[in-house]
Amino acid sequence: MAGPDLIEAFETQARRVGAVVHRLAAPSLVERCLSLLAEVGAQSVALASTHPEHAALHRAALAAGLALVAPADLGPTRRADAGLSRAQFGVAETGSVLLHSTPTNRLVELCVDVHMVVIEAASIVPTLDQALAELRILHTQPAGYSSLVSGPSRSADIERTLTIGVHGPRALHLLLLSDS
Amino acid sequence: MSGPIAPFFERYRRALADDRLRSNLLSFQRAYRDARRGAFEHLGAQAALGVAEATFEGQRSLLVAAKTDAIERHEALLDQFERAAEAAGARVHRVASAEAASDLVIRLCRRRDARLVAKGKSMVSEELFLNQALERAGLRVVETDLGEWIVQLAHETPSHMVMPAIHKSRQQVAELMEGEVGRAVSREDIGEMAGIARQQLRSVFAEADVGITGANALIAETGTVMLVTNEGNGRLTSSLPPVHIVLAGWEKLLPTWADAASQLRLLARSGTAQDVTVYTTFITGPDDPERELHIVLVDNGRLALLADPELASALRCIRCAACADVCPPYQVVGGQVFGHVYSGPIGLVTTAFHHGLEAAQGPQSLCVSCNACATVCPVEIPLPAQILEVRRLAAERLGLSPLKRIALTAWSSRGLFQALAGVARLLQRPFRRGRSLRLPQPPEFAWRAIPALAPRPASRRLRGADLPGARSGPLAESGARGLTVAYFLQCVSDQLAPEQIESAIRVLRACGARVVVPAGQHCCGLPALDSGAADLARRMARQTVQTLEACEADWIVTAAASCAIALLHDYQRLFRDEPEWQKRAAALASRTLDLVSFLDQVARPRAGALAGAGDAPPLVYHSFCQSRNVLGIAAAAERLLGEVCGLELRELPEAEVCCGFGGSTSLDHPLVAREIVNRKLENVERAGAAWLVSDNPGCLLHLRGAAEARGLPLRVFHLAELLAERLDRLDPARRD
Repeated sequence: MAGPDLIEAFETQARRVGAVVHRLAAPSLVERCLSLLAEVGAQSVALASTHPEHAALHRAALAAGLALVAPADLGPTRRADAGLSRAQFGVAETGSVLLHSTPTNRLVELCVDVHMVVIEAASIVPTLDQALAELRILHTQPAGYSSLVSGPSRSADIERTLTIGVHGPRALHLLLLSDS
Repeated sequence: MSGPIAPFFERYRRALADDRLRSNLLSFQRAYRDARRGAFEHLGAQAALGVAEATFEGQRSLLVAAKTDAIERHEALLDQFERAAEAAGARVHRVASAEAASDLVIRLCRRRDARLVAKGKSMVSEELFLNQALERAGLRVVETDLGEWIVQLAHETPSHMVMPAIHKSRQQVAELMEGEVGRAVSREDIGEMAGIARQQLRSVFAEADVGITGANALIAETGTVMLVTNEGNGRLTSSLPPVHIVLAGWEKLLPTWADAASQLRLLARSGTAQDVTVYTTFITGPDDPERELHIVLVDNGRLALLADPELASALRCIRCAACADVCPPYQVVGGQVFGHVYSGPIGLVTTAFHHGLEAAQGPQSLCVSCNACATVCPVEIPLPAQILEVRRLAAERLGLSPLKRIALTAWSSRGLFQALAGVARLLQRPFRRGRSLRLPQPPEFAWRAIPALAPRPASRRLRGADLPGARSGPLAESGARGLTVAYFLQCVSDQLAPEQIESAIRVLRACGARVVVPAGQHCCGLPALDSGAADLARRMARQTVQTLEACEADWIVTAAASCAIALLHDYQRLFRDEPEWQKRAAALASRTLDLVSFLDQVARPRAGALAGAGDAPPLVYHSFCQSRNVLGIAAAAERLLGEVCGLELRELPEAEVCCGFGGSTSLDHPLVAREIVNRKLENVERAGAAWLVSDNPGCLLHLRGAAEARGLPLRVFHLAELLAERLDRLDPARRD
């Protein structure tokens, strides 16, 4: 499957599992993050250390009056409204993003209400088979913790009624980056 | 050791009184099939992305191959897993028993002065009764999965492997939460309840010294633990506490990362009808020098299961619970009765090895052998045959009830059976009312009228008969023309419904076949097999094989689909230790067909051959579940009615669900059978049918009796009778 179709397939599947997908061009990342944070009404945000644009994001967030929480300060009872992570790759088949993170950066994924993930469109692989091949390499280094994340957390344990946002984030936003 | 589990009959009585449980599970099962179908259809759509084998069956073959390989090579793979995991900094422990596992976990907790343990969902921890052991050791244990937390608050075991609290109403959940949080909780607002769980459990995640999770797979290649979750508690439990303990049966092994693809494609779709769960987590080693990762690989009966060639494939189970989701008796009693710790059909098998045969004895008696579970198992475990094997073991080692043994022994003797039937025919005379007997019944049986024995069994007239095939008539130009068919009467229809036999023979002759009725035939042995009395079943099977193989016929045909399936499938299993008999049974099977298959595959009457015989009132077709699930002939029967007879069939909701006869199950568990038959009759009523047609005498007896007891104006009869009726109208001269 060719590039644009693959990205389309990824987006469709990601939406199907309940993620919100925003397409944007790389240069507008910082601006888009800030407007999204405003949209979701976040007053505090935690940034994973893996963003190349980390410094710019940090500055812009401060300028916008957001409280910046250091990932290491996050915990189940010390949450931030939003967290911004960066995915290694995406999987079109399942609409997932792969987050291979250090324990500290993982807190940004776990202890926030709104989880925002930056993902490069060029990193999307078509199927689980390719994703698992990538993961195998990642896990051949000693020690690693990865999750394929497909939508916001959910449960149907009470009378099979679906509740979104249980212990994990209640919303997942994907910022899908392309070059142009 | 049974831990906190009450005796079977206590759980059984409690469940039968629980209307809420039954209605929750009914609405769940009704939604499940459609949702699952949609999920697998969506998999098919992924072929465009390059997913090979993008079907349930295709992925199932891949996963069966991977799991079979993993189990066969488990020793080498366990070594590989252990080496790789420990190279990454994890500690791998292998424990044989539940006690050893609990002791180890307690030791690991004590080493770190742990006070609070956070639990992610782990069926193995339930299997080990770990929580109780930890609490006895002075630790506080809190379940963090919403369903498991609810069940923990209720001091119960999970009633479903994927949705532990499915039997609870929102009101019950609210009450439980109220007790825990000490303030009022809305009885209606599920979102609020989930919010309470989120709030309450936050501090558990923050303060827990140890986090315990299960594992959905153990990838040998790199020593990686794979965890499949939706709520996020699994990730929190495995990330935050300084010690993470993974509990897993060693059978969770997968050889390579590539093998994980088929498990991931099948697990969520089978379990919750999702394409994928929200979080698919892979953990290799502790990724922080301050943290510990311990992987505890448990045996607790798994090697014993592996050593049993009939049952070893149960180790392939990926804990999706699809088997429970389509199981009719499970719907009636729930997983705490249809199971022990592990629930659903798989639980009936594995309980015998994890918790002992006594613990499995009660639950396994509830299986109706409908085979629905086998049609949805993503690793193709032959559950129906395995449950019957557990039944056989229970009968052999724990004993069959004396009454059953006497009854089945009498049944197995043709002479005695027929003599007793003769006596019963005399005794019943004062009580006959039409086709049933007016006799007082214990209340738990009152939902089904007792069938009367026919005044004359079919065998009286037909034994030894040799009847020519028709030369002309509406069906004479069929593929059966000139063939010789040996007809197998079936003991039950012979005595209770000879008109079914007469009709079947009429139809076969009308197709141009010569029909012979071998003398000396009796019961195929299915009642004994169904009760676990394999020795008596074999006696009757030998007698049947001898009688039928002796006659020179192209085909052996019967209108009793259950007997046909016994001959086709069960006999070879019954004779697995007797190769001579097994060969003879196989030879017989190669020319045996049930009536519907014979008509569909051999006779092949042309479309419209029996049309123009008048209209029929609205009718529905109930396929015997094994005809549907084992032979795959439900559609063939519908074609006979629709295309050949030109009849319009109403759509029967939940057509694939059993009628509840289940051989001995409706006698051992009448109240369960009642619920299942009510479900069927309600569906028949919803379809607005006046006629209910089926292909199996057992189902018909059961359905007719239940319909009559309810006073339903429903005509319940065999497909053969319907065909014969139409023949009579079109070709009256041929009747004899």
